[in-house]
Amino acid sequence: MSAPVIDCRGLSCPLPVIRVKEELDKGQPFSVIVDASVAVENISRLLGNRGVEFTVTPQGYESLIEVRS
Amino acid sequence: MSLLRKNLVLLGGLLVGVMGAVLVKYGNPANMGLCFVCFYRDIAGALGLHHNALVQYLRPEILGIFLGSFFSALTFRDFNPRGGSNPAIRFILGILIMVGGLIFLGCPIRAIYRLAGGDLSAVGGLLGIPFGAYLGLFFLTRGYNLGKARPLPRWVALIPVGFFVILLILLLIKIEWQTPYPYFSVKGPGSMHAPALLSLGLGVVAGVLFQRTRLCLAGGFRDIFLFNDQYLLKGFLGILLGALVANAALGLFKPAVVGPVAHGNFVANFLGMGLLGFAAILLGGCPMRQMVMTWEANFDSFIAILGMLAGAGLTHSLGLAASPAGVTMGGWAALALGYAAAFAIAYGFSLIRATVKGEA
Repeated sequence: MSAPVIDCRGLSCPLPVIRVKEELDKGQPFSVIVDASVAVENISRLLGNRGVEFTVTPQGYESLIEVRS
Repeated sequence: MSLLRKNLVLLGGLLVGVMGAVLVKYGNPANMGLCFVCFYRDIAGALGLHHNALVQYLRPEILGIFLGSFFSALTFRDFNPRGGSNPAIRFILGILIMVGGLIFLGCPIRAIYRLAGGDLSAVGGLLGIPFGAYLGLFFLTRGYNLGKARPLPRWVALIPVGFFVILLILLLIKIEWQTPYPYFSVKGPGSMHAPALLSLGLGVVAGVLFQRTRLCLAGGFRDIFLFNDQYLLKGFLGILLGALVANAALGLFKPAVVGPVAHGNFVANFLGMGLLGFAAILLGGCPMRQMVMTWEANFDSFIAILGMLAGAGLTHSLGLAASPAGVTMGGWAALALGYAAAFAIAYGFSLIRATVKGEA
């Protein structure tokens, strides 16, 4: 459980995606918490396009996205 | 992602394109089936925020979009009350959106409709959108951030709902009893409209489509520049294609260097839409998307909408808005000031991250 967790709750579009992209470039596994389904969709599209493996766990309005990298 | 999910936005765009042509066929001004800049301006006029007698009407399309997006967001659990991410700056950015939009005479959706109706002057505006998006992204990738929105109590989310219910009631009162208030134009673009029930009904459909597809006209170019992701831009193309075909079928395609309710100043069209795009990226969404996010209980977006209504009032009260006659001196001054303000906000809120390291 040493993978960093980035808290993107409350950030306007497209900051969550920009944060994830910055983190991806480091090449380490990490997780992101977001609180809007549009952020989940945007991040999923970015990760899908990059061919990165990830899981999405919804928790109420929030979602945890775990990126294996 | 399934094929349908991937192309839902294209399908939504096509429908919105066709819908725009239908609304014009039934009475809306040319190439103005839907236009978030024009309709906020008309609503501001109806409420008395400006007194340009040519552009006053409580556009039922916008009220329909309220109902459609609101119930869609509730149904699909996207109704999550939050706010507090620099609302005052968002109000100002809303004003800047209207200054830019009323120089071009339309929002990005109308820019597409104008091109699909044969109005070549739309090209300047359409090129301005990626220009503005690029300016915004320059700062976004260098730390620009208006701060985090935080959860709000559920009752706060009822404030925008209450405001729009009042607008709906005002519309009904006006239609039913011809009251003097709200003000409705008797001539000019404000007087041209499809039957209210048709506008309202198609607005509801558009509201659901916009909410489900996350369509955003500022986001389309943004995602291309940032991630080479074409999802949102497909919506753009869908609207163009749908409107082109429907315009041709309904006899509304009329090629012209300058179309109706437009002017042909390329520089003004480019810079006007550029300012709108710049401010929209700084806000996190285009004028349409701000409306949809309002109904996802984003109070900051509601503040941006109020800024746009105030911006429409200011722009028309001070004679800054362009018209088919062209751009006024005041309009050029407002455009320059608008860019100065947008750059100042973009620069100022990029510095914050450098100072407060650690706070995302």
